[in-house]
Amino acid sequence: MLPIRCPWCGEREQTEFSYGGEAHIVRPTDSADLTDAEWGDYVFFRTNPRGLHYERWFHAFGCRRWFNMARDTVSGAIHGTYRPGEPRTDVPDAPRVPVAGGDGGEG
Amino acid sequence: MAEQQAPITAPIRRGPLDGRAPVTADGVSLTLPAFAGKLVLRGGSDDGAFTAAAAKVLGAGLPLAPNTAARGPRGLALWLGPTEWMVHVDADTCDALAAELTAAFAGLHAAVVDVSDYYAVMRLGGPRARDVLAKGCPLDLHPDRFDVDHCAQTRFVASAILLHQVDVGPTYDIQVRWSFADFLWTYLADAMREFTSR
Ligand SMILES: [Zn+2]
Repeated sequence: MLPIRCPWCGEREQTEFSYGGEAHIVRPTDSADLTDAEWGDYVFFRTNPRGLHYERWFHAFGCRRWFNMARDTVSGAIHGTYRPGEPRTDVPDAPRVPVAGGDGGEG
Repeated sequence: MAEQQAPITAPIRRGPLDGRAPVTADGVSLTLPAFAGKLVLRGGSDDGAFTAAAAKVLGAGLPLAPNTAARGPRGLALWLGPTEWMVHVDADTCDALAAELTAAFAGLHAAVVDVSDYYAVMRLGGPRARDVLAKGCPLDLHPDRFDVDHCAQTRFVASAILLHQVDVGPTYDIQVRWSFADFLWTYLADAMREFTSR
C-alpha cells in the first residue's frame, strides 16, 4: 500500500487517486501570437525528469479535488502534497529541473 | 392502449434494494434503513453567507471539518469536500427542505440538487462490521482514526462509497450509486459468510 496525503482528507490509499500529469503548466495568455512550435510545446511537451517532479493528482474516490504533489520519479518518495494555489512544497536537497511555463500558475 | 392511469400526485420513494431480507451472521448484520431523501449542497466553506444560510434552514451548522458529519433537526449533513455536502433527510420532507434551501441560497454562489434516486444506502452493523468492511475498503477504521459521525468517500472493491459511522456498535451506513447497490449488497453478504457458525 502506498499512502498519499490528500490536502483535505488526509492519508488515503493510492488506489483512491488518479494521476494528472505535470503540475504548474500555465496556459499562455498570448496564444494568438505563439508559433506552432511554442503552442506545441505548451500542449504536448513535458519535462519528464529523473528525480524531483511536481505533478497533479486527483482524489477520485474521495473528495474529488485536484491537488499537487512533489514526488521523486526514481524512488517514488513523496516529498509533500499541497492545494492548488498554495506554494510548492520546497525540497531543497532534491535535484532541480527547469519547469515548463514559468513558476506560477493555479494548477 | 393502456388504461388511463390516475395522475401521480406524490413521488414514489423506492430503492433498488427494496424487499431484500436482512442478512445476519455472528456479530454482524446487513439491513436496509428507511429510504432517505438526499440533497447535495454546493457552496464555499469559507463563504460566510452560504454557511449561515444553510445553518439557518438546517437548524445546525454544516460540518466544516473534512470527513465529519453533523446531525441537525432537519437531517444529517455529511462533508464531501470543501465546497460540497450530502444531506440525508426524511424522504417526506425532502422536497420542502430543498425548496427552502434553494430560496435561502438566492443570490449566493451555491446550489441544491436532489439526488435521492441516484444513490442507495445500506446499513452494516455489529462488532464484526469492521472486519467485513476491511475486505474491500482501504480506510483505517480503527476508532482512533474513524469514529461516530466520521464519514468518508472512499472505495469498496470497485465501487465508490460514502461511509458514515452511525454509532459505536459500530454501525455504518454505506451509500453507493443505485447501479452498484446490488453488487455491494451481494458482496457484503458474501463477505459476512465467514462469520456464520453452523
Ligand atoms: Zn480528498
